[in-house]
Amino acid sequence: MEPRNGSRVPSGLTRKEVLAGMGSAALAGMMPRGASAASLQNIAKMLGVDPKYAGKGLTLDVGLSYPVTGPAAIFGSHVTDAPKMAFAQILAMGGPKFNVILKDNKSGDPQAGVQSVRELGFNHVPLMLTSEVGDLGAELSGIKQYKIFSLDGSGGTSLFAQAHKYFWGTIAITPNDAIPGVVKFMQKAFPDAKRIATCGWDLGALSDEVEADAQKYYQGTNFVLASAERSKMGATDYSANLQKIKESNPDIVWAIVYAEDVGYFMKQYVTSGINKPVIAFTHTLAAQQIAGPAYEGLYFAFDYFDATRPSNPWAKFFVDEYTKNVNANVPPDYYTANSYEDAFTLWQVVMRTLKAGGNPKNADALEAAMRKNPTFPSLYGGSDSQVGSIAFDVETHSVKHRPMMVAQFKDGKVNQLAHFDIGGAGFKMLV
Amino acid sequence: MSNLTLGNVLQVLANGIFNGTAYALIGVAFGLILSVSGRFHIAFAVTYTLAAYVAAAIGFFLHLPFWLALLGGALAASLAGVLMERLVYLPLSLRAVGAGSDPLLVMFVASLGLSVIGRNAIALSTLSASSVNIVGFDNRGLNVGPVTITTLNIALFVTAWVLILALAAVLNYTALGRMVRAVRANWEMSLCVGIDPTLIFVVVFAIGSFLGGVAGVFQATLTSATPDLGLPPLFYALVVAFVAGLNSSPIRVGLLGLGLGLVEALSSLVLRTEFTPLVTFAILFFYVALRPVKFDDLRRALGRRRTPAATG
Repeated sequence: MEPRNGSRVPSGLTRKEVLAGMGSAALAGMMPRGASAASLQNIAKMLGVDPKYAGKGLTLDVGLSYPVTGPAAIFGSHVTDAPKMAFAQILAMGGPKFNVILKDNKSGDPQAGVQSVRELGFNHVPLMLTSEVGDLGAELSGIKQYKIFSLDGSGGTSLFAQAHKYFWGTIAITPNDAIPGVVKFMQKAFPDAKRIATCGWDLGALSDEVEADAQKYYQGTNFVLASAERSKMGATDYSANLQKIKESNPDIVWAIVYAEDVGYFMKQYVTSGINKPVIAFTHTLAAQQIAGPAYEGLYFAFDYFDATRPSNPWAKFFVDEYTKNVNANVPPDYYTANSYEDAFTLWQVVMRTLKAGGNPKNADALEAAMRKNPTFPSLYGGSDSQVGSIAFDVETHSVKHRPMMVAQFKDGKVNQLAHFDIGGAGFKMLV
Repeated sequence: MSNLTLGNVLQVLANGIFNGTAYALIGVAFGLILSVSGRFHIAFAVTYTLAAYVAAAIGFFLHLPFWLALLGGALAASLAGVLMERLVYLPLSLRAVGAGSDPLLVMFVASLGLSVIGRNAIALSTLSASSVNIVGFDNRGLNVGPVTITTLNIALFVTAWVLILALAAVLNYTALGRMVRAVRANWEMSLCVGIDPTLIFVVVFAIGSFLGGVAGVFQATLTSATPDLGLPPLFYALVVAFVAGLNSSPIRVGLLGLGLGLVEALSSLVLRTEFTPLVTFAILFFYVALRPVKFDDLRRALGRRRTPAATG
């Protein structure tokens, strides 16, 4: 039963306060259209918002370092719109006004990343949502120098950006966090398979580190590495890589490329004559559209956000609001969901900082709040009545708990095959 | 080092032949424009890309068969090439010569500008998707013994070599071809026999952009059309055209492109995939380093070909 106007709900947020917040959001030109006061109030309750520390009246600058141009620009608009929507909802829920300052990292251009973080630093911006592992690591020194508390929801920390002060990766490390679960899946689904061929982005020494770490997860099993190919980030032509993969006579192929690149890879893979199962570590509608029929049968394993089957009420609210307000034609994908979730994680950190008596514009205070309680509400996991949760490792700054899955794109839709957590914990076949 | 089985080597050779065919086609196209007009046409990348987008649009909106989309895309590239020559290169060339400055640098900068503008115009016009697919071609893998080839490979091979041989025939056996060769050899003498070099420039831009457009459509069918589609092929086109020689016949240029594809593919037997493009750089490097190129002569040669506009 809905609380009556003015009554205090268990979260402590009243409908009046939510309506006032919606008014503020409208005045700020960020009215979350379609989101009713009741639904916002309900979500605030689920997220455990305490109005005393929600940050009402505060204005906080937040930088968004996202791919506005370049090969990943197609995702740039989605990942930019989602946190903007989140900030409008946060304002409506009685939270601070987050003033968004958008910076273009040009899709993994380190120079652009350095420039972005420098500009934010010069302007004393205390918060940032960033991407592509702090734009391939180039932003990390600036983040530390200018003390910008940052969350990366499109690349996480990877292996090379762990334990960097003020920088936290909010998604599983790909492919490494998924590999233990994938190995368990392969042992069940493909018991005769032995030889794995990989094709991953060529990021130089960073790729060496990722490959070396990945191999340790299947040492001691039946699996051996048949070949390890590398391609340019944003490559569209994989014919040379596929030739080498074919030469290595694999039983299974891992496509460790991301975003749309999976689509290009699959488009050529189907005519390569290899005809073995392919496991990717991402899935996006854009890649699916590029590959067309070639996408059919692709397996993928990661912390996938399934907009067709939101796993908890907050996720459902997000999908409904995004579809209503931002893009009615394209459901929110993994990157979009992560950037939305990151905005709320940022708010949670601000609230916890305020509760601890800290200054939410001070990265050290934010970092301390993060370390004190590194568990946050999540769009992932949960149940019909409860939001999911993610938890961070305070040493590595990466997630140590985050729901993941193996799924297959078959008959034009995503079919979930197995669930697991970081490191293959709680692995469970669904079929 | 790769596994040197017969099957692997044959697969590598097949890949080299098909990649080399694409290099052959763009090398012939770029070389024709460069050798006859003297325009260092970097914006060739734009016409290459434009053809792919137009073909994709024809297939998507008009639901026409692939071959009509290919033709439409190539014709659009051809028209774009002609417009670049008539609206940008020729007027700028006239102004530069009139001002007593060297049009070679002006042409280079103009072409660079066109390529930047063209690339961004295409990107802006397709903001909703970073790439578009060309539909209508049933690309399937075919196993021929240990070698897998695709129907798209076969279509490209046949189309490219028919076009290259046709161009060679036109240049060798028709009046138009003789005029093109005359302007390429000496535009001043061609004026004396009543040939308008500026008209021949338009012809070579039309043909060269058409051939490049065909290559662009095939490449985009294999991958997808992206705003940057034409940039990597531009480099290959340049290498093929330069190494084959500016006065070479299309067949010779084509065979050189084919050879480049084969060398690059064979290098993959000993190099990691990401290093195979270095082979092309190495070929260009050794060509420049070992062949006694007299750059002043080359400059004068290009200069001779770029100035007929000044005479009217």
